[in-house]
Amino acid sequence: MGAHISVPMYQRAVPQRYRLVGLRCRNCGRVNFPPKGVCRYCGVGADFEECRLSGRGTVHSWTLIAGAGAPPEFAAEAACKGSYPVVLVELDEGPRIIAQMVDPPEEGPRIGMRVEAVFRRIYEEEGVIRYGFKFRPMT
Amino acid sequence: MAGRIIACATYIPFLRLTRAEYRKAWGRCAADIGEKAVADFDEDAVTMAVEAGRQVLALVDAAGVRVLALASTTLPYAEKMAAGTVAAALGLPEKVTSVELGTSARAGTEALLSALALLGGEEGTALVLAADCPAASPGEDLDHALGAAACAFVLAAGSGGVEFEGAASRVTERLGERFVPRGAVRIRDVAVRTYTGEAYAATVGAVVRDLLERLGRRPGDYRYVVLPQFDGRQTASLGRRLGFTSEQMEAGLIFARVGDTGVCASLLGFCAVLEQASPGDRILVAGYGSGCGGQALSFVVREPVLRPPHGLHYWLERKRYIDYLHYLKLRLKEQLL
Repeated sequence: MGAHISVPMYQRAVPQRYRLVGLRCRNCGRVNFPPKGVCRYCGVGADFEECRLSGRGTVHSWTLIAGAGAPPEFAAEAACKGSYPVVLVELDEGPRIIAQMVDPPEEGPRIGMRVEAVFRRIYEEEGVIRYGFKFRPMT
Repeated sequence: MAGRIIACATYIPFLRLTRAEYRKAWGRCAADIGEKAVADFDEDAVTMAVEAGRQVLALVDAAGVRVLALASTTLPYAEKMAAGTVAAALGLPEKVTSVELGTSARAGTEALLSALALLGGEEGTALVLAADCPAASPGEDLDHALGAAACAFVLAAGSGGVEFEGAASRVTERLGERFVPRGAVRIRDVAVRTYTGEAYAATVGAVVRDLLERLGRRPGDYRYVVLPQFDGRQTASLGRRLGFTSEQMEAGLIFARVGDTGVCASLLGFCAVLEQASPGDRILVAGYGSGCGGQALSFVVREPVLRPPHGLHYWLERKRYIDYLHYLKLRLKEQLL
């Protein structure tokens, strides 16, 4: 059993997972993604406006999931692909987020590489397909 | 029914399987492809539709989209609104009038016609998304041609852009040709190629002639002709029989590089043509659905369409070759999950 996310919980996160909707703090102006109750940057702002992130960013760090290293919900994908990269991306708007990389170059990801968010199937549970974002090298 | 196309975009998955891989695995390749596009493990008709949709919505305001027509024979759920997933991913207004089409590969041209009708000459735009990744049992010849792709069109009422001039449609009974039984996911047929070839040629031929007659045109009036491509030779030979030259057909022939892309089997070639057409050019595009029915649509280019930075050529060249074993694992995905 992997990290179970119930359907209602996933449903609430649809705007952020499907189209990268973040919250801009009206106090300090920084973008919180994923959305927070209190701004993680200034620690006081609780008044936000929604903003849609560009999805573009830079690889800050990365790792390769291979062999039996994948969590159960990704095991079939790992078995099929052999391995898949997971990247820590610094988005152009500031936040750092973790996601899989698709269509990686033969030589693998590179720190500093420019990437863009794409819409993909993340995993399936209870027959429900969980869609969300992954990153692809930009050209 | 007036209207025009103002923008288009395409998406082709990164993975490719070559004819040579089929030869190595099975001793032969039953399809006249050079290579075909293969959807990755985490791709389906919905994600591919979103890929194409995002590109056109970088050119046209999403808030102005009033109609959404989604075409696919391989939507991930047999029942559940797929248009809702696509609309949420693209940030379309919830008030959009949406339709989902997909009981045959003709759903691509059906979506264009439906969107034009639903716009009804009023303000706003219509987004047409066609995406497909058809699959048959890997042991059957039918599977060799099956590829994957998506395309997006933005339509509006009024004149200018790429104007719609008219359409012809036919439907008739044809048994045993390419079908998916309820509850199944894989395409079957009765595996008699001449039988299915005849149905295709007769039906597409008839609607093209109907259209020419209705509009008072001759084959030579068209700069570009795009016939549905489920097989390379079949398409070329039908074009010749209808009186079209290879110059008229060439720009829209994509089959050998992506395979049979279901609802995109003519729309992908249509996008290729739209990318290079000049004002004054006339374009004929036809659709075909097994079982069976055809449609033919006529357009005239007044102004070139809006195009995203990456055209079809970019997607055709952006690729990674996989071996047959990798392909087989992707085809057997349901058993791995």
